[in-house]
Parts: sequence; C-alpha cells; structure tokens
Amino acid sequence: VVNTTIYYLLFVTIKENNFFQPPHVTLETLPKENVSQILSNLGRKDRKRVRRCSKSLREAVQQSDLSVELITIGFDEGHSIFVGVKGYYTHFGRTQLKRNDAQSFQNWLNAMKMRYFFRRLKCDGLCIQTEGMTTLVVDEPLFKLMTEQFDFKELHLVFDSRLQPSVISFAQRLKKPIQSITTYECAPDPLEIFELPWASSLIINHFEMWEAYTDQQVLELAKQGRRDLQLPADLSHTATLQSLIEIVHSCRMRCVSITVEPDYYHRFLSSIDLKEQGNQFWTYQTQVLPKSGST
Amino acid sequence: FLFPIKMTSPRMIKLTSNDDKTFEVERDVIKQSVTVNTLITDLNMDDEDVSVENQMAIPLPNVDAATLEMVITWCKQHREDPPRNEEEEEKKEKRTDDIPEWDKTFLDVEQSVLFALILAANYMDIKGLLDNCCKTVANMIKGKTPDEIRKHFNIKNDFTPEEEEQIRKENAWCED
Repeated sequence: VVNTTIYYLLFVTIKENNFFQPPHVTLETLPKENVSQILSNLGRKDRKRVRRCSKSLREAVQQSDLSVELITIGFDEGHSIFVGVKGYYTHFGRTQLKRNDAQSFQNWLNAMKMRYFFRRLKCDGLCIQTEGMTTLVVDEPLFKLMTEQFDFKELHLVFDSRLQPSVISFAQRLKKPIQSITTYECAPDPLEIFELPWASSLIINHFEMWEAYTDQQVLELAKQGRRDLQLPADLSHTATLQSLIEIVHSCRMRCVSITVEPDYYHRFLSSIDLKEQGNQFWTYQTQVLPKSGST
Repeated sequence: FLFPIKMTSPRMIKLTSNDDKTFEVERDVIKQSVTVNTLITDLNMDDEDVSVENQMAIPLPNVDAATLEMVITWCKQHREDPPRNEEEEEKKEKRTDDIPEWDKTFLDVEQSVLFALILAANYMDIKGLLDNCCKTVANMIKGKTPDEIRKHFNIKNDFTPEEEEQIRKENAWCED
C-alpha cells in the first residue's frame, strides 16, 4: 500500500509538473522555415540585429533568402535598364523606354514580370542611379512609379549633381525616407562608390562608365578585396573584355557579371570560353569562379 | 403549401491531439486547415454517412490538446473569411500592423504558446493563423536591440567577443 501510494504521488507530481512534456519551443528551436517566415516580416535593420543575437539566429537570417536589402535600378541615357540585386546585376537592353513616359517603364516592368519578382524579394532599399543627365529619371511620374512599385523602406539616390534640385524636390514629395544621396559632377569615381556602405549591390554601370577608368584602376579595386566587383563588358570591345577576364582570374573574384548583346552572343562564348550559365540573350550570364581562379 | 423542412445539423469532424484528447469540430470550420481538409477529401469522409460517434478521429500527432483547442477557436472566428489567394498575398506589401484586433488579443499569450501555435498552424497548414502568429513574433522583435531581443526571447549569446566584434563591424553602417 505504501509503495503504491508513493508511486501514485510520484506520478501525480510528475504529471502536474509536466515533466513528460517536451521542452518548450523557443525562437531558436523553431524550425528554420518558420524562423524565416518571421524574419521575412522584418526590415533590414531588425534582421541585422537578430543576426547579432546568437549563432543559430545568425544562420537563420542568412538563410532568409527572400529578403533583399537593396535593389539598384540604373538608367543610362539610352534604352538600357540595369537592375542590381544582392551583388549581381542584370542589364536589360532595348527596353523601349521613352523619355518622360512612366507608362513605358510600367510596360517594361509588366513584360518582365519584374513587379512580381520584386514583391517576392521584398527589398528594403531602392537605389535609383542615373547616368549623366538622364531625362527618364527626372520625369516625376516615372520617379513616383518606381518608388511606389517596390516595397522598400529606404531610398538611395546616386545622380548627376546637375539634377539635384529636381531630384531632391521629387524625392521629398515621396513618403519614403531618403537614406543617402550621392551626387557626382560627371561620373562617380569608382573608388568613392566603393566606399559607400551599400556598394556591394551597386552597379558599376555601363560600358561608358567602365571606359572612363583604366583596367589598372579596376585591378587596384579588385586587389583591395572587392571580390564581388561586377565587371560589365561588351563584345564590341573584345580587348577590354579580355583584359577584364584576366583581371577576374588574377584577382580570384567570386563572381563576374557580363552583359552580352545577341549579335555577339556566340562570338562572346567562343572568345572567352566561359561556360554558359544562362540561356537568355538579354539577361546575364554569371560565372562563379572557383577560388583557385581557374575557369 | 407547406413542405417539411429537413433540419440538418452541421457535419462534425473528430480530431485527436497527441495527448489523446478528442475534439469535435464542424466540417465547415476545420476546412481552413489544408492538411485536415485534404485528409478528409482523400479518405472520402465527406461521402460517408456515419454518425459522429462512429466516426474515425483524425489524429494530429504534432499538436497537443491545449494548442488544438486554440487552433479550433481561431478557425471558428475566421470561418467566414474569404479563401486566401496566395498569389495576391505574395504581391501584397508585407506589413505587420494589419493583424486584426481579435487576433491581436487572441495571440497575446506566452511565447511558448505562441510558438506552439506556429508549429501547429504550420503542420495543419492554416496560412492565416501562421501569418498572424509570425507577424506577432516579428512585432516583438521590431525596434529592439540585440540585447533586448536576447532578453525577451531568453536567448544565450554564444558569440565569442571576437565574433561579436566582427559582426558589429559588418553591421556598422546600418546601426543607428
């Protein structure tokens, strides 16, 4: 009787104290997919703070792949649009953009299903970069459209100082906070650009800009450890392309993005002997190089 | 003319939690759980003319009774909600200030309960509940410093001082 009573009391005690219950779930022990879902509701700053909490949360934040800190949209003075996401960039040529025509940009977004893509990515920052006296971006409806299209919390502007009054005036009318404004007289100095905190996503834009700097200057940048340096190239300038590839190899860069126009597509592939990674002419081919630097 | 009206009681479904407690819930209520709904459909349970007493209970091995009770309460509250269009949801701006008032009060529970609800909603595939739970946790995180987050969620800082310094440097530009 005594034994039975003891066992009974022990059983009741254990049961009442929930000793049989599994340990409580915590933020750290939640499945990664759920942690990712929670993190997808947070902006960049909060995610970075979570990242500092513990090793497992740092890993969870890193795996939260639907979050993009910054999308850069660059315009040149022609019909090209450049989109940079997470250290990669894509060049879209012959977009049929018209000056002072927000609708043409809207058409492009729809045609490329970019709107949906960007929504899914949930970018926190939008960087609008212009080259020279681009009239497209100073078109207020277009400017507004771009900022309304994307779910971002911050705005970075890089623009020709000659556009300053109008751009600032448009930007101030937006409800989004402007995180940074960088102006340049003619074209930004690459060294200055790389000093910007969000440079990892910045587009080193367009061939014209590239041409403004010597291979040696870019090589110097690369040597400083800019492993994500993006090197745009154009097959019409094969010599430059070749030197770029050499730079990529010599600096053991992690990635390189190269823009190819259809006319030069096959020539491009044969001339630089890079493995084809994409299959669309107007997007980009990204070659991830092994750290040894060999293709 | 008067026609006899057949009064039919709502179809009930039995669910059993992992601690062997059985709940009877209206078919129309539990349809919000994709997992349960699929199971009912796959097993042709809708076609069976079986009284609830003789009906096979659907086991939910990943959900305890207390949590299941809360899940059912939530489903009852949201039974009239229009079906979710996932594509539309994806397109919507992500925000955490749109949790309905009722849900806010309902989800104002201990963290362990909230996390158990997340697990249950995930397992039972109830998107609306899962979304609102995740938003609630996100709101707990928002605006807090790493120290405050650790304290709030009882997280141990397992970084070495060197690692911490490294992360601080990486994050330096975005810190307030």
